Amino acid sequence: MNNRLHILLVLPGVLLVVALLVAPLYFVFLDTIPDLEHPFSLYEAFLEKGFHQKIIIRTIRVALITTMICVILAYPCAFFIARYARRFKAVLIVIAVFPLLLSPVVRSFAWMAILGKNGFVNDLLLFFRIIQEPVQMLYTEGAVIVGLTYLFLPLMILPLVGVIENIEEDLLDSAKSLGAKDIIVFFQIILPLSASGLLVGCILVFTGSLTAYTTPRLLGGDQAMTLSTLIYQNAMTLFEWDAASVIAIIMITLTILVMKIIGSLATRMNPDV
Amino acid sequence: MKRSGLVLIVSILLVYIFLIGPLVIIGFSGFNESEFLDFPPKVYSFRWFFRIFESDMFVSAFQTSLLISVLGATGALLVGLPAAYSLSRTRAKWRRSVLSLFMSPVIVPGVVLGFALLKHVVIALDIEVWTGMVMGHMLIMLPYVIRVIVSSLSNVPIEIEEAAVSLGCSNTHAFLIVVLPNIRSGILAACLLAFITSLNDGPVTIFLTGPGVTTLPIQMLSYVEYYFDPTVSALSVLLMLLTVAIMIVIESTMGLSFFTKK
Amino acid sequence: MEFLKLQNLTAAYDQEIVLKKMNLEVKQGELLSLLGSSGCGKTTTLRIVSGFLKQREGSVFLEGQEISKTHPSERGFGYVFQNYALFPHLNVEDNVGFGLKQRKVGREEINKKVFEMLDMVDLAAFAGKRPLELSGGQRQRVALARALAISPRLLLMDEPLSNLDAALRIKMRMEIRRIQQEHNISALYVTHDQEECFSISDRVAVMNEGLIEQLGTPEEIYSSPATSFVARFVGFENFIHGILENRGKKLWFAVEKGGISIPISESSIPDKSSVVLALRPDGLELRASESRKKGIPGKVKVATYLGKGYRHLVETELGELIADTKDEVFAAHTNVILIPNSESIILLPIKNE
Repeated sequence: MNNRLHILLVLPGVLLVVALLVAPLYFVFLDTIPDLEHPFSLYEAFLEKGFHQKIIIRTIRVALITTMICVILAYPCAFFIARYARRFKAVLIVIAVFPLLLSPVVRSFAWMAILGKNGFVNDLLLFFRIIQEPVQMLYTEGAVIVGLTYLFLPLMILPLVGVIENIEEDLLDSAKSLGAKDIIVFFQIILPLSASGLLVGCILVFTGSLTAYTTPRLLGGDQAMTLSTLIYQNAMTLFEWDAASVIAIIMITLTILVMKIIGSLATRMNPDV
Repeated sequence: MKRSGLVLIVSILLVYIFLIGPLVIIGFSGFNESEFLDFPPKVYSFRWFFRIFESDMFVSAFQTSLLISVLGATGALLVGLPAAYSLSRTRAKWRRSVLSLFMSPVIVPGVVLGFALLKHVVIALDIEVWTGMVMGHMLIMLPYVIRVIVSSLSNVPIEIEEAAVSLGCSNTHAFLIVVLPNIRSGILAACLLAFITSLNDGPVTIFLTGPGVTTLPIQMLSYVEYYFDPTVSALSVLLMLLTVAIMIVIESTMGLSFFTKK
Repeated sequence: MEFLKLQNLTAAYDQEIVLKKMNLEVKQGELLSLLGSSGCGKTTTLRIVSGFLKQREGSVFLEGQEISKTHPSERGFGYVFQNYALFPHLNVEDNVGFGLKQRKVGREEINKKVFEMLDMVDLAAFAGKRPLELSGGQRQRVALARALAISPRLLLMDEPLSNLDAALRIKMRMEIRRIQQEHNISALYVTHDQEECFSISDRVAVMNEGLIEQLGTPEEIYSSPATSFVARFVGFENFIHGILENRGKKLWFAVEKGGISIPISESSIPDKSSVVLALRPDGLELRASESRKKGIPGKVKVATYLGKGYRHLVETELGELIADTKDEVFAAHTNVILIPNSESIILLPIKNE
């Protein structure tokens, strides 16, 4: 079939995405440079405020810590599911997928109930007399990190399971037959061969944490704001649309930057990915 | 190996307790008689489930969510199906760029997308709240629809269409009677995935709500900020059941292994 | 008048030209094979004839009528695909009846024709099965029945047997040949398998780099390949460069270095021209060097057992040569004499490239 027909078929979709995504984003970008002689004046004004700087740094820090925790928790898990779980494999994957499909509001609300003043954790600590009075855990950076880890852990586990599954057993056996110890096998063979899944997981978790809205709003509140809650506040409560536009561009830039950096890591570690 | 194996199993257990525990706690608290979210509940009851249906707040929000999802998914399917077909059949140079264009609604942060839509489409063109909402949801569903249908079409070799054509079908007719029946389950899975994306969306939707038009997650979001009672727990239980039902259908159509691939 | 005529066909994907001004004629009731390795243009030719691919230049005539502009659905050709391309959602009966249904044939007539076809391929008992429930060989036969159900003017087959195992391939190619001859169907058959091609075809076109290297009956091509490409394809393993010399009554093939000469029975190639001498491994007789026979001296590098005999790789002044023996085997490092059997020798002109 000819090229013209194929173009005709994708055209409505392309027009939709251009009209509802590309064009609006382009206009948001234009909004942030109203004055061509001082193109960065709005950005400078925004970044001058220490409050804003703090939020940017917190957002990146939270995303970074969340990603690291997810890697540490997900690796043994994915390794187990892919290699040893056998008949529990399907169940374990289903349990990992389930929260992913569940509303983020529900998932964050669960942690509100757990971390709240009268929540499960405080009850437990009081019961064992570790603390005398309920501790404030909600509306802190820690709460946001826990919530985001909970939100995104499956996104790290699943791609890792995918790649570890594809490492052939023969390869590990041959390494062992050549005398490699388990730990060597892990670092020399499993880690490099699962790097592509790891990096996919990192991109998903990092960009996801960087831009999540529901979790920081419910678990961080006004005390531990991130860029997403800040943009909402500026746009919808303060009507500071210039600032909101600046945040929008910063968020997109950060997202693209993270994807580029991790992506280039991927090509460096494994050229054929 | 034995000790490292034990460490492995304990760490898996902890991770899975972390994954399931919060949902169990929420599940129990939905059946709690008391006003508080204490765990485990002392007295069980269904009162909070009745509460959901007593007030119009959640019911009408769910209806709105449903309507927006259905309209958005229909739109996304109408636009996405031909595009997915074309993308899976063409070898032209523009294929890659168009595919990444279609995936961009997943990459652009939700709040940014919502803000841009609000400012430069809904307000700039003075569009009704309803229309804006449906357009926004159509946009966020499109990547899922296209991705699932493209992967489903990759299992339908082009030779099948050519066989139909060589036997006397026109190209369009071949698509309708040979290709479509073979991607039915893919289309169903695409719709369900799109539906659940739309139903769960917070960041894009929160910018597009307006007087009388609120979706379920947004309603829940503002509710839990003011009232901290088991109503939302009970609602969560219902949403979990819905999710389970959708997972069962996705499993029987696409297979859940879909999620471990990319 | 020829039944199917391809005239000056040129085809290209993007910049890459895959068919260069190709000409070919197929007679009524004839099975003509396009033989060649992947990328030679054989499938491209078939796709142009079927109409799925547009040629850049040239024309396709069917019974004298130009059909290049006819939509593939209106050409009425049967097409058997390499992967069979059965409709997974339809059972065998509906697959075979598909083409007739498109032609708005009455239900009873479809039914009659479908079972006639299924009887022909011996699958009537499987009419209600889905393609996924069938074995590879059964699917292949359904594909053939489906293509033949529309009583095609021309049958096109693209590597139809390549997904079957060896024993089934041999059985199926006899089936295809039988059906094609019984129904007097004109057919174009694409394959890369020389043996399969020879066993099934009336004529064979050996293709290479978008051109037909040789067109002829299987016997002609097997016994007298016209180019070294074709010779290689039909089992010639030894190629020696040299000059043809007329010394008195006899013709000799002389190699420049080493002073080795080989007597030639006859040749149409003019005297003093450079030629390539080609031999199959069984055209070289292998003798122990003590035998004092005249021939090419050499040393065995490797000997392997083939089942029907032994194959030797022999290092000689003329390069490595391959020679087969029936029951005598010469161990590695043995000095031997290679004696070309003049009956088996083929002389090929050197192409000016």
